[in-house]
Amino acid sequence: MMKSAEPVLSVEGLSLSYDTPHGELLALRDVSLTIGRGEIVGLVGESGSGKSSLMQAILQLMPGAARVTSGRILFEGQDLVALGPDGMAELLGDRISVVFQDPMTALNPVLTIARQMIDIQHRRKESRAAKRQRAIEMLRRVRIPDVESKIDRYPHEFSGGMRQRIAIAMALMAEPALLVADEPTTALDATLEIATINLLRELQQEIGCAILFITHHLGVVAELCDRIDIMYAGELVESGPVGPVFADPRHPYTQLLFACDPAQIVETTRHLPAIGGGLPDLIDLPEGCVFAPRCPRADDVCRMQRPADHSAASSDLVRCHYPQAPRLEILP
Amino acid sequence: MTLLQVRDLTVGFRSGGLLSRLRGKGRLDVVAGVDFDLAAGETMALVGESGSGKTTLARAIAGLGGEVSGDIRFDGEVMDLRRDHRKLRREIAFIFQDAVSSLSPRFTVRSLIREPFRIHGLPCPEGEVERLLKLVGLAPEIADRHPHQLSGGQARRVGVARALTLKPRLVIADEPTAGLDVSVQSEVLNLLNGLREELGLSLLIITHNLNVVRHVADRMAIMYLGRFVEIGETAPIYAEPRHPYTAALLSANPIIDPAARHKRIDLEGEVPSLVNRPKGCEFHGRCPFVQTDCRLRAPLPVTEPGRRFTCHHPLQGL
Repeated sequence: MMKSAEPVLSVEGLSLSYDTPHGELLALRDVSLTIGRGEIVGLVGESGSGKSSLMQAILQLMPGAARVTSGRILFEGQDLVALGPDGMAELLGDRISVVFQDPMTALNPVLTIARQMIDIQHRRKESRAAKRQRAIEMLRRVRIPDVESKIDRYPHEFSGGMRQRIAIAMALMAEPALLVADEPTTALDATLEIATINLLRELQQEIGCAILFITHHLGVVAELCDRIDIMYAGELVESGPVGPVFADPRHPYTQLLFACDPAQIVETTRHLPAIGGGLPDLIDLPEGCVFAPRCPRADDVCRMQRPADHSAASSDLVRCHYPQAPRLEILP
Repeated sequence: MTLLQVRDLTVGFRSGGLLSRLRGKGRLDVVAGVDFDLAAGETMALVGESGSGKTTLARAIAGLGGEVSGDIRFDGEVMDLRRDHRKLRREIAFIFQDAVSSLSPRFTVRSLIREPFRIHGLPCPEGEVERLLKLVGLAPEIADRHPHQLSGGQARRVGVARALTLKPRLVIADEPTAGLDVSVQSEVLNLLNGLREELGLSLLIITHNLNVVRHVADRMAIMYLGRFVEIGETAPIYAEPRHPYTAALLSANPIIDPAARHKRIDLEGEVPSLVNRPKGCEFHGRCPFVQTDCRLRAPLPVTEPGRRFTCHHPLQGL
C-alpha cells in the first residue's frame, strides 16, 4: 500500500460540545486521529461513544447546537473547521465522499439511478452522454449486472445489496481522497456483507482513496482495515494497526470489548460476558479517567487524574495510566 | 410441549393494479410454505438476509399484518388471525427492531409500560411498573423519563419490559441487538435468556448476527426468498450445514482473527426477485454446487434427525 508522509486526514486535539438545556455536553474531548493516504481505518465504539459526532465534524455536517471548542481537522493540509460551508461544499462529493448506513435514504427515491449518477458529476464539463457512460462503467465496477437496462430504474427496484453497491459507486465516482463509510454493511446479511467488503477493498486499491469505516462489527474491522481506532464516551482510547491491537489490546475497555464479542467465545454459552455499568454522563463527567467507573483495574490515580495518551508496543495510542499493565483476566 | 405450530404458512401482500388483480396475479408471497414447531421454553433464531421474509413471518405470527394463509396453532388451539387478535396479542409479545422509535416520544416510560394494560382493559397492579423495570435491570427512576432521555440499551430494555407486561408465553424479538455494541448486546441477550429461564418463555429471535445465534439459539431456521431452506438444532447446523446457502452464510461470517481467514464459499449473482421466482430450486442461480436437475425440479424437503432442508444435493462433511 502506498503511503506518503503527509496523511490525508489528521484530526488534532478535537473537542466538540453540544449546548443543551442541562448544560454543556462534552461529546468529543481531545480526539486525535490520522488517516494515511490509501489507508483503511476502522472506527469502533458503542452508541454514544462519539463516532457519529466525529464523523459529522469531519464532514462539517454538525447539528446547530454543536460547537468545536478546540482542535483542528486537517484534510490535505486544509483546516476543515475554519473552512466554512462554501469551501466544504467544494470538497464534499469530490475529494471527500460518504456512504451511509441505509442506502434507501441516501438515494433519491423519485429519480432514476442514471439521473442521480449524472447529477453528481455536475463539476465535470462533459456532455450528458459522456457522464452517463462514466456512470455505466462505475456501476459495472461495483458488479451491477446488466447495467444498460438497469440504469434507468428507480432505487426501489434494486435489492438491498445492490442499492448499497450503487451508493458506493456514486461515492467513488469522483475518485475521492477520503471515503467515509458509516456502517455500510449493517443492513446486509453475512454473504452480502463480505461481498461488499471485498468490493470496497478492491475499489480502494484501484482508486487509492483512504477509507474511514465506522462499524460495530469487530470481525469486519479485522478483515478489512489496516488500523483500528476505539472510542469510548467521547474519547479515542486506543489506536493502532489492526493485527497487533487485536493480538494485544492495551486499554482495558478494548480488552473487555474484544472479550465480549460472541465471535471470540469458542465454547457456546448462554450467558455472554458484558462490561457492566453504563456510559458516564457527558454533561457531568467523572473526575479522573472516563472509563474508571467501569474499569476492573481502576485505582485512586485513575479516579483522580485524567490519563495522558501513551504508546505501547502494539498500539500507537492508549489513553490509560497503565498502558503496559498485564492484560485483564476476564471471566465470562 | 409444542407451544407454537406453524404449517404451510404463506404471507402475501397485494401488489399491482386492478387489472393484474383480476388476472389473479396481484399478490406477492413474501413468505411461502413455512412449517415449524416451537416448544415451550425454547429459543429459535430466524436467519437470512434483508428481504428474505424474516420480519414478515414474525409479524404474521404476532397478527401484525399481511394476508396470511395456512395453519397456526398456539398451545394446540387453531388461531384465526383475524378473530383471535386480542388473545393472540396477549400471548405473543413483539419486541420491535428500532427500540427508540417504537416508543411514543410523548409518553413517559411509566405510561408506556402501563399502556398494554389500558389497551386490554386490565388493571395495572400497584408497583407493577417498578417490578417490570427491575426485572429488565433498570432503576425505578427511569419510569419518569421520556424515550429520548434513554440510551439505546435502556430503550431496548423498556421495549422488553413492555413486551412482558401481559405475561406472554411467546416473545418475538426482531433484531434485538442491531446497532448495539457487543457489551450492551450481551446484556440484552442475557436478559432475554434469563427471562426465558425464569418465566418459561419461548423466544423467536430474528437476527443477522450469526455469532449470537450460535450462543443463544436452541434451533435455527435459515430463510431464503421467503422459504426455510434449512431448519434444525443450532450446533449440528454450524458443524455441518447441509444446504449450500447455509454453508455460504456461515462461511461468510467475518471473524475477528486477522491472521486466520477461513475458507469462504462465494455466492455469485443477486438475490432473485420475489415477483419472478426462479424455476426449479430457487437458489440454483447462485449455488456454487448447482447441477442440471436443480434448474428443472424444485427440491422437496428432506428430513433427517433434528434437521430438515430443501436441496437435491445436500452437502456432506464440508
